[in-house]
Amino acid sequence: MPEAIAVAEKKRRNSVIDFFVRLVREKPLGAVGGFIVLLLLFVGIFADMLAPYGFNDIHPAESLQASSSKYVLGTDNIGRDVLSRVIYGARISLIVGIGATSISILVSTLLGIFSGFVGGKFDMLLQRFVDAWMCFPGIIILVVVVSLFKPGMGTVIVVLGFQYGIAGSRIVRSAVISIKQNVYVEAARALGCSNTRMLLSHILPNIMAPIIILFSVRVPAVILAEASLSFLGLGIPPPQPSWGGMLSGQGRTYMIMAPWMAIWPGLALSVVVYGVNMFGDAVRDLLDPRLRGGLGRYGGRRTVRKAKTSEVSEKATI
Amino acid sequence: MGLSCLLAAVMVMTSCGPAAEEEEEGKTVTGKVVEKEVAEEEEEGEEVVVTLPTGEPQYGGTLRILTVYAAIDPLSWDQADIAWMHNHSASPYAETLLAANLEKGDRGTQEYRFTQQAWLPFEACEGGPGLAESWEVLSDQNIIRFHLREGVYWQDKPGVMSSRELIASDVVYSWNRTMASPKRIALYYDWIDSFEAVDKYTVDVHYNEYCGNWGYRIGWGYYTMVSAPPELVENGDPANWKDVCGTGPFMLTDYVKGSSQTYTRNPNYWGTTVIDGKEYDLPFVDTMIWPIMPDESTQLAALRTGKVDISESVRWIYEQTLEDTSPELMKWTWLTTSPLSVGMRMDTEPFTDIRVRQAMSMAVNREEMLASAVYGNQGEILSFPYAADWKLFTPINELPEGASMLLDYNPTRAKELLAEAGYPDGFKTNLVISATGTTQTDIAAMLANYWDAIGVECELKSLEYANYLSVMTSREYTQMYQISTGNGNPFSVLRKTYLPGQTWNPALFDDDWLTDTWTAAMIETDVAKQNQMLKEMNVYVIEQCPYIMLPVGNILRYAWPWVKNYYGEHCAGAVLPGPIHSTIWIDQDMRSEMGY
Repeated sequence: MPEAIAVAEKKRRNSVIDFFVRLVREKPLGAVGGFIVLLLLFVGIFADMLAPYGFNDIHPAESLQASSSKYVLGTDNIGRDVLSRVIYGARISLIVGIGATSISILVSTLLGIFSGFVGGKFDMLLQRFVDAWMCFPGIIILVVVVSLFKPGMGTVIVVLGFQYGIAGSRIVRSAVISIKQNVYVEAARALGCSNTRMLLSHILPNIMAPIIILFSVRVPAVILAEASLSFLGLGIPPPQPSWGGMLSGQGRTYMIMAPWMAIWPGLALSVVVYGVNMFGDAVRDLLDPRLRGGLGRYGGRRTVRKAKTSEVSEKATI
Repeated sequence: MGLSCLLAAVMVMTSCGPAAEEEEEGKTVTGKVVEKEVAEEEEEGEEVVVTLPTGEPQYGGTLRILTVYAAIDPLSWDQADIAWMHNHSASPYAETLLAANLEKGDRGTQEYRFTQQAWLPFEACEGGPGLAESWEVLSDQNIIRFHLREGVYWQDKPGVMSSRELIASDVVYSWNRTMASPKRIALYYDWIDSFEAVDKYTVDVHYNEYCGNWGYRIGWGYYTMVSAPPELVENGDPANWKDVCGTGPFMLTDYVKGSSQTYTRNPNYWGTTVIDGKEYDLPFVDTMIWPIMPDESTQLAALRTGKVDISESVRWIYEQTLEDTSPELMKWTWLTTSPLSVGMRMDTEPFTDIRVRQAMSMAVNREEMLASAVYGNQGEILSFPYAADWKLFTPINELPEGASMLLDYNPTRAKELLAEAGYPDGFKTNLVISATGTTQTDIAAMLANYWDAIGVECELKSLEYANYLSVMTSREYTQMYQISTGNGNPFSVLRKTYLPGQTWNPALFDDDWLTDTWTAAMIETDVAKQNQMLKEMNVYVIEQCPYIMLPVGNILRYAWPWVKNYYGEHCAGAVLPGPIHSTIWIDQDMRSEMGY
């Protein structure tokens, strides 16, 4: 028995490594997605060192040039290097995507958990507010709010975060309501578990799956929403590049003459969306508590192995 | 996959599909033949104008034109609504007192190109198809006298009016109605005391103070249509397209919102034209249709496929692809009539110092900007405030040193000027731009780059259009404002851009000499002297540098070769294409032979 406990402790200390090992072994697509996410982080953080030119270094006489040794991905309509702008665009997309999504997840989770857990009149009132919010076309809310405050990255992140967060609280709320019905929650309440402990120990871990999926789906949505704002002049101010802005602006205008202006940011966006989605899927599967212990393939195998180890140990002792 | 292809094919076919209309058999009308010599001249150094052999004009057929405003519906059919677009929508069926004599353009003596949105020198109107055959200024009596043509008839409109001759009292009635409109522009007609019908064909305009720009105000400018006879007001609704009528070459016979405007030949039209020495009754075509197409791709598709005969406004970026797919198309170029410039707030540091303003201008590499894809290596470095093809325009090489240097790229001198002004390390500033389209953003990005090279760090503030305008009108911008201002005409562009208190003067330029000179020019009755004053004012405002002048790009105009007697003119008055369109005929045999 002490040996089994020691084994368990050692395995807990290696859980992070174990997670990534499992990710690669069991979720190869997710591993690819994870690599893409890491690549995005790397490019975003080290954009200044990776980009061969500044994002607004113009060479008008060399505008609309296709790929060359000087401009690997070509140039845009005022002679800016497309590769450099895609790299710097990664930074913007990263900041906006992750920043706004994090805020939205926080808002969705808080609203959804409290609304679903408390229930009753509080839930009813809060959901009517959410109903009203969802009735407004999202872009109208975005335009009004951004117009009131100074357009810029911070405003965009906060606005998009709340915009998606409030609407997404419905998903979290329904997951909470579903989990709340389970017997173990009742048992925990009967044992005198405080609400806080119930939320943190029983509710939250069991709704992580939809939250993770929500996160992975929302990141690309936020990036694209930022493009809509840029299109209206309410997004990231020029000349800072964002992939969505590059696509919806000059990329679209010069699509016939210089398709690379749309292809490369579009490809970058597609790859990131794919990567984030695959990674999110994999993380959801690996962290879902319902797939641990007596449930799920991996959990069942662990239980069987533990039992066999115990039997061997007991036999050896005897 | 198959479903996706089918869907894409349906979308393409839909965008190329014709509007619901029918072609009518051409009617042959025997016109009056008058022998007349038409001189052909070509000026050296000018862009070569292709004068195509026109052949014997044919009557009949349908002419389809994507006008410069093809993306929007008519704003109003009633002149009293004071909608800027009324001239444009009404010009096929109604007329103004003065209009361009197209024989003085590319089809004749080539003195004027008629490519400007709202500018016609008086001499360009002489002999033109206006309702006034002649006019005179009786300055001793404070009268502008118009002598109307005889034999001009209102169109027959069942339920509204029967056709009858236009007389002086109709002009008076129409103008009194316009001036009494609650929507009239403040101060616009204050110089006028009254309109008077002296006799059947003579109209006197009594003025309080002479207005040197009276041609723009009552002759050929905005809101100058004679389009509301008393019968229309009494028996019909001037705002209802079904009731409107005029004296023009066409009659408005159909309007489908968001789709098209249809004009039908007026059989009683008085106008004629001379082609190869022979005179012909106008118009030639039976029907003229103006499709309404908001989407640029759809417009291009319609042009390529011959669904429209003329497209008046095509961006240069499509030049190559149109040459590849439709090499038979005839092409004309004309300068954008709403150039961009950057206004520097002259009431705020550092732009109170002219050296700073000069430095900001000299830091800009305009040649390089023209070479970019924003301009496509075509256009002009300077076309503001006066358009480059105006006779009052002063070319760069004729400008005084203090003005021409502002248009030269000289970052070294720019840094010296900044240092002299007390900014050896540059300064931080900002520029408000409109987020509409990509052109303003691209140009602003280039400017920021140029200014960065001389140590000026510029933050770009891109605003949604309504907010962008609001910021200007409320003067909330703190440093610089990028603005697109129409050339209009010499008086109007100077007034709105440089006179104090004007909304479209974001530089807040306020100069006593300019204000006094402009006011004096407005009441100057000697045209030669007035023109001299206007020329001087143009040079002066460039020298004072309240605005950074930016290059002006070209717009292209295309027509299929079966479109005859068309020379790419833009307007015969302020946004007035009707007189131009009425002279066009369609070679229907050629169109059939070409498979369209």
